[in-house]
Amino acid sequence: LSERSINILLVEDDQVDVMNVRRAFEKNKIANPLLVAEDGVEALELLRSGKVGRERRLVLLDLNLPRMNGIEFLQALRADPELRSTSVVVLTTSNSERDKVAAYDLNVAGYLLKPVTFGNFVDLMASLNKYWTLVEMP
Amino acid sequence: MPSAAQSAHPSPVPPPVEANLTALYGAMMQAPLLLCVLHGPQHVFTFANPRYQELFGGRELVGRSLLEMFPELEAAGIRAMLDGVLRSGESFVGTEVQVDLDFAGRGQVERRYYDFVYHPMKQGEETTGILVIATETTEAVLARRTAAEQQARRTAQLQRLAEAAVAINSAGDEEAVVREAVVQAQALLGGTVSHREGAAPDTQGGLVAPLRSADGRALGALHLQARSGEAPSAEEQSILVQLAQQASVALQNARLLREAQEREAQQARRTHHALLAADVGAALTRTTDLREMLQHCAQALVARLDASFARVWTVNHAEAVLELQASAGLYTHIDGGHARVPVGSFKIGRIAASGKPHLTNDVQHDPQVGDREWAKREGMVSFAGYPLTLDGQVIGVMALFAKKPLPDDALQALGAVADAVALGVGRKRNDEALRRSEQTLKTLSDNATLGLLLMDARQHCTFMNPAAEEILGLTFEDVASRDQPLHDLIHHTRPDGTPYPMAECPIDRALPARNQEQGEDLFVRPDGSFYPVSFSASPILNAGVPVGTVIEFRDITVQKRAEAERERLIRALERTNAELDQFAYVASHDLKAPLRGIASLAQWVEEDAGPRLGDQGREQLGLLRGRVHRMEALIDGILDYSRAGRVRHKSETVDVGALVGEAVDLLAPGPGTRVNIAAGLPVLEAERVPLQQVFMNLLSNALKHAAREGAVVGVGHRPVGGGMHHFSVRDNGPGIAPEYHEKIWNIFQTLKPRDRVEGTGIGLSVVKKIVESRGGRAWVESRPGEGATFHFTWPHRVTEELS
Repeated sequence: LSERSINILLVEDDQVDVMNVRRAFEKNKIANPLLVAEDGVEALELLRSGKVGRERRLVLLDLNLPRMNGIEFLQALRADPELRSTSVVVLTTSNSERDKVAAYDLNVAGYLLKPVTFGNFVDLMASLNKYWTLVEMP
Repeated sequence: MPSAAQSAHPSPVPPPVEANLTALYGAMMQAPLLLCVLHGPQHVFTFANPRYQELFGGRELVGRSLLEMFPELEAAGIRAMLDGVLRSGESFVGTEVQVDLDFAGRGQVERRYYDFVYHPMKQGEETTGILVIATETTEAVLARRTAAEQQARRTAQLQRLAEAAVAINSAGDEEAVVREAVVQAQALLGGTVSHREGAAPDTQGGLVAPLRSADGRALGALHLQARSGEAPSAEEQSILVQLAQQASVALQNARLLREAQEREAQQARRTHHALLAADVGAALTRTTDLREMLQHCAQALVARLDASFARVWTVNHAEAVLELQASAGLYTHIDGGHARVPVGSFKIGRIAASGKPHLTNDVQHDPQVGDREWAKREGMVSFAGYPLTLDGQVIGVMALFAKKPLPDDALQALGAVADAVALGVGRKRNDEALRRSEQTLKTLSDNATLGLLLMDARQHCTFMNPAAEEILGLTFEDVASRDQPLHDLIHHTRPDGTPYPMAECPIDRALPARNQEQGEDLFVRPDGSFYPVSFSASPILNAGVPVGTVIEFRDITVQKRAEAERERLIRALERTNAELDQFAYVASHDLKAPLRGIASLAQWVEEDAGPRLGDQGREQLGLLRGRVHRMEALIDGILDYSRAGRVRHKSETVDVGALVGEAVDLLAPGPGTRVNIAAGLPVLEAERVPLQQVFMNLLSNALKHAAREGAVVGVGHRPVGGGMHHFSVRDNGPGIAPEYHEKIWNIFQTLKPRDRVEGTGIGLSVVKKIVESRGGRAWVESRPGEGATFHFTWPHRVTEELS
């Protein structure tokens, strides 16, 4: 199990959204370890300190964050030789083209809009889980 | 016997003897002389020879006293003569003594003339008787007297003829000569004399004397009517012929004189005409004012043609009226009745209308002359009116009145003057037109705000208007005095301080390149400051040869400043739009995030509380979620609306049919709903996203409002003019009352409670904003109960300005 287990870092400052993810994981019986950082700075610290498992890492990234926002975090991540290959999926409310383009320019694995209803959120997380279990990760 | 009183001389012979006496007596008795002897103081006849006696009718005389017989002899002086001889004793000789006596005693006094001698007869010393010896000389005397009288009469006649000749010769002109010849002939001949024209007058029994010219031509004849019963005498004939000859000579002289006078007058007129031509020529060339020029011409006509007055009109073609320009002579005013004469009216107007002169030497009877009473009163005789014709067009009329007939050569001179004046007027008009056109050009160039320059082929400036001087900060005098290409004065340096060679200057290139150059550049002021100008430099080609350049230019400092300001404002607006975009993004994110949280939390409460919640609690949580969705839709709507007119997408080829199909698929109409998409929807060059949004909004609107049962939605199309397409989306819903047709396009406007038909009231306002920002139009057609059709137009191709 641990072979396939993924180390997920959720970068999210909204507590309800953190709960959304956690409850969606529970609903989908996803038992992956889930660490939460409230902004880019904290997320970088967690990644560099090794509190997040070094293998098979996946970052679920909100864009609108205090201190260091998602795009800035991605720039810092891609600039860090240790962390540059980290898989990142953006999970945000921003439907802005600019954000999408900026994110993909920084090699995100996906750009997901946060569903409004919890039901949809659960479905999205199930799909995501299925997807990343299939994906080969560094 | 006493001797006669005169030439008495003593007798040489002594008293004869008786025989002798007898013989003497016999001789005395038979002598062809008149002999008698008177005796005593009573002069008693003592002897009278037969011849003497015969004188007195053979009456017995001897013994009778002469004085008793003829007392009248005393009065005739005879007695005195006889008494003188008795008293003096001397003889008396009388010659051709007139004796008027009733010789024969028949009561008839006769006049006779005698030569006689009274010889005294003496007895001793005393004279006692008188021997009278006489011869009658009556015949001789009478003959002599007749001859003298005839001579005198002839002399008088010759005198009269000479006087007649003088009278005829000095009569004057030919007519007067003939008249005088008739008068003189009548006076000389006493009959009825007339002048007959023609070569061979009928004499009708009278006398005819022809009048002939020097070369023998018949000039008519003098005719003396025949008196009744009396044939004309040779003398009368002679007189008539002489008078006729005199008259012929006088006629010849009169003719020669007349011709000489005419030649002289003609010469004088020629001189005047030459002076007239000179005056008019001077007026035409020296005066600048048209009216003044024509006034001089009119004055010359009056002075040189001896006219009473002369006038000149010019034609005002626009009003078809002749306007009096000049008047000289009797009248000099140019206002009043003749100031404006309609073309075609009165004699002046008719001359202008016909283009033909009107000439008359009989003004007072000319029907063309309007006021003949005036002409009579003023003694006008002649009128001449000439059209002033230039290039076949009548441009005026020149006219004059004179109190003398105008001879042909005067009329010819007048015609020539009219032609000259016409040319002069034409030239004046051209000059006037030229001056006006120059004035117009000057007005234009003086008042233009555009700088205007002319350069010659050496690129030296030859003209600057005031605006150019103002802009350049140079006067034309400054530039002309420099004798340099204009470029070296105003365009010599670039703002970076490097020289600007003339060879690189587009303005100076226009002429050699024979091409109009336009653009913007920087000129240099004399103080070294630069200023932006826009210019146009056009080459002037004279028959293909480049001769100069026209330069129009404008100081565009203010314009440049305005452009810069506009750029600044555009950038500011762009910044504001970016900020608005940012705001919309932040708003959507920041407003939606808590909204989602509320939705999630409501669900979790429902899940976690489970059965404990009760039906009412669950319903309230459901309503809460619904309001969350509406809120989210509103936020999305605001975002759409804010982006609708502002955000521009790349235009691409859009198959509208496919686009509508996709939109319908996305909207997933419920079962039982029919969507009819017209065939042949166009393929446009358009922004896909906004066009799709328009169709999405209209279709979702239509689907939302279409009838519950058997909903039908249609999409139609037709191309319209102006590169636009017309699209329509109709439904069979309840329709919209007319009073809402405008209102529905307002943002947040809905017509139904949101709980019944979920809507934000943003969709249509977004449609309108998108369509109108692309140059189209959106409107609705609907009546309650008959569905609604939403129309909009969309450009076939995105124009440069809009894209």
